[in-house]
Amino acid sequence: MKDGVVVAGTGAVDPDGEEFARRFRAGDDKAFDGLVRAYQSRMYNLAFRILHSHEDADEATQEVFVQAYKAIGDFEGRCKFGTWLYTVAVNICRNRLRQTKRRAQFEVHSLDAPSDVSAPPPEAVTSKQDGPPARLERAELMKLVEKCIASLPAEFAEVVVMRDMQGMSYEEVAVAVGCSLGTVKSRIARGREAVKEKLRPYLGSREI
Amino acid sequence: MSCKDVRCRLSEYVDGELDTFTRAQVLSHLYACEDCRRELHYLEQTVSLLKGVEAVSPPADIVGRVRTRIAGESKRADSRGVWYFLSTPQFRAAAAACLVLGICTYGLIHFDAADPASQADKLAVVVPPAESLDQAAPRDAGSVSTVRDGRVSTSDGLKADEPVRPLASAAPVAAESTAHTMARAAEGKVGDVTHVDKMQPQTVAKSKDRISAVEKPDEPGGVALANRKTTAGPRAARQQDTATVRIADANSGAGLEELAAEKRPAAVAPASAAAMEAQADADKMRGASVAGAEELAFASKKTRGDEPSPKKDEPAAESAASAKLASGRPAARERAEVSSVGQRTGLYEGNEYRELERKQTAPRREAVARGTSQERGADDGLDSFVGRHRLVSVVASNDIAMRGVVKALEAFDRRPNRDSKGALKADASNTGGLGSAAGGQGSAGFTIRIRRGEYPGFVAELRKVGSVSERVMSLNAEDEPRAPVDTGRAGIASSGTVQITVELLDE
Repeated sequence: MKDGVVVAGTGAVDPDGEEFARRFRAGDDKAFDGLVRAYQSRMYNLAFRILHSHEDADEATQEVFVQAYKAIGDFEGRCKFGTWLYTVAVNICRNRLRQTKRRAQFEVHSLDAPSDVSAPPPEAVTSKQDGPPARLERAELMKLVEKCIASLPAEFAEVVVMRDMQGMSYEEVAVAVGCSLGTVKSRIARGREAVKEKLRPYLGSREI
Repeated sequence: MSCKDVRCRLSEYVDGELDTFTRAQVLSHLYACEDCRRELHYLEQTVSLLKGVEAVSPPADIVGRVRTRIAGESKRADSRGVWYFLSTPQFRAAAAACLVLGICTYGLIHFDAADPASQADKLAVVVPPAESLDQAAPRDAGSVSTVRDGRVSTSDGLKADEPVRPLASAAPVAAESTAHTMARAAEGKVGDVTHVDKMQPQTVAKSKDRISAVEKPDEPGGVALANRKTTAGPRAARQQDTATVRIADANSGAGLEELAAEKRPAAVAPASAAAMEAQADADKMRGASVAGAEELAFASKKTRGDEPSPKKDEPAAESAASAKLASGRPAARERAEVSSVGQRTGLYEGNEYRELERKQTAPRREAVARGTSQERGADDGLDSFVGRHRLVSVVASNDIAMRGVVKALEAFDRRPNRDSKGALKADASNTGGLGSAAGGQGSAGFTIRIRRGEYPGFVAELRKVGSVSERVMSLNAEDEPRAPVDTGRAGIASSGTVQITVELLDE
């Protein structure tokens, strides 16, 4: 999709966003709107992949920009503005995820409510069709990939999303998540390996 | 490179993040290992799928909602105003600090005002006999105000009607105290002379609260000193609506009598109250022992537990006793003297009401008047020691010596090898401060008065730490212990001479 500035989910930190950031730091308040447009898709997608909820992702995205607006004075320019914004987003998403898990611990589950156990596993979804996974439609395969991403722990999901879905470099990911480069490499490799193992039945010699 | 090592690096290999050497090693292995080549293929497919995941569309008008939210938070912050400021962590921290500071300040002030021990040593009323007036030089007082025939003169030039200048915190009390003194002088019944130490106004005020006395029943016409104590503190001094007077008839052994219980309204004028107290002082000068019921009860309970029950219905007997004492007592024994710098506490022993007195010299008194905590600590230590060991008195040359005394005696007290009688044992190691009490090349020290035989070996131990001179005195000796002359306290050094005078009361 397009948001007017950059193709969301595909490009790296774009120079347009950096220009908006420069103007906004210089005191141009209207540049903030362009800044939001430049990064809203990436922030929303990152939040959605971590929080697995559109509502939470929407709230988190707004909070990211509000925090950025209020804390723009703390941005010292040592890294790209986009990278700094990812740092804000990762922290907000982690906090919200922590709150969500805490709420879930105290939620009362009804025994009559339908259980997730009855839901078919991702593999079953794909295997009910004509038998061989190779015949799986690409759309269904992409849904399966999304489920695989959603099943990853947050610390692996965020780095995989930033690296593979949003095209950030290892260094940028390391700054965004606040870890060393080696840790980021390890997490990316393990995240990919986990997805690969879940997709193994549908991977083969065929071209994807 | 093993398959495990290669597969750990496949992710970086796919991203082109491996250095040239490692990449060559991985390529070499992949060339030879089909399994690893298959894993590489699966990984490349997985990454391709991940990169192909379609981005979800964000909700519309995020920009507008973010703007609205920012504006709302700014407005909320403005509307919070004072409460927002009050809720900030910085303000809370500052408020907490101010609260703690205020509590500490109040505590210090309150402690100074309410601690009887810290105030009692500022006692300052001396009533010598008429003939000894001329010799009544300010032995250990800073200056002396003399009241003669209703006129007040001071040794340092204060005018007769000039009130003692009060300290800021004790102004009302000091003013009342001055009025009290003046009224007593105007009554003309106080005797010829009343010495009023003008050291500090609150000192004079507290002097009303605690006056100690020694009753000597074994001598005809023995000295009967007043021991009057009301509840310590300025408030009690101002609202003295009950005057309880007792007389101890030393000769007849009638015991303590309650002379009168006179109810006075709290709003009575200070001059009126002072006039009534002047009457009591006049009785005291006639030989009666004027004692506050509270003090006597307190003292007797504290020391013996079997308080002589006061007889409230014998005013005639006590008057007779007063007249007898007043007529037959030698002038020297009529002296109802209360140290201007000492603290006295009553102690019953058998049938005797004996005083425990602590005196200090002028420099020390000044130090106490300044109210340093260190001095208060020394006071507490000495008071506690005297109370525990029933020492008759301790007099030191200066405040350094006094601290040395306290330190040394407390060290004695802590020693585990006290004998069965609780006698004090000392050695040179636990008398720190005594050497420095002299200071420089001069000499200073202390005089300690104890009962002979009470502490066997104590004098021998004291010889280890200073120059000890012994003096055996009669139990009824009336002269007060005097501190060795302070000839050098210019510096803190251990080379000075520590003069220790031990006065042994022969029982």
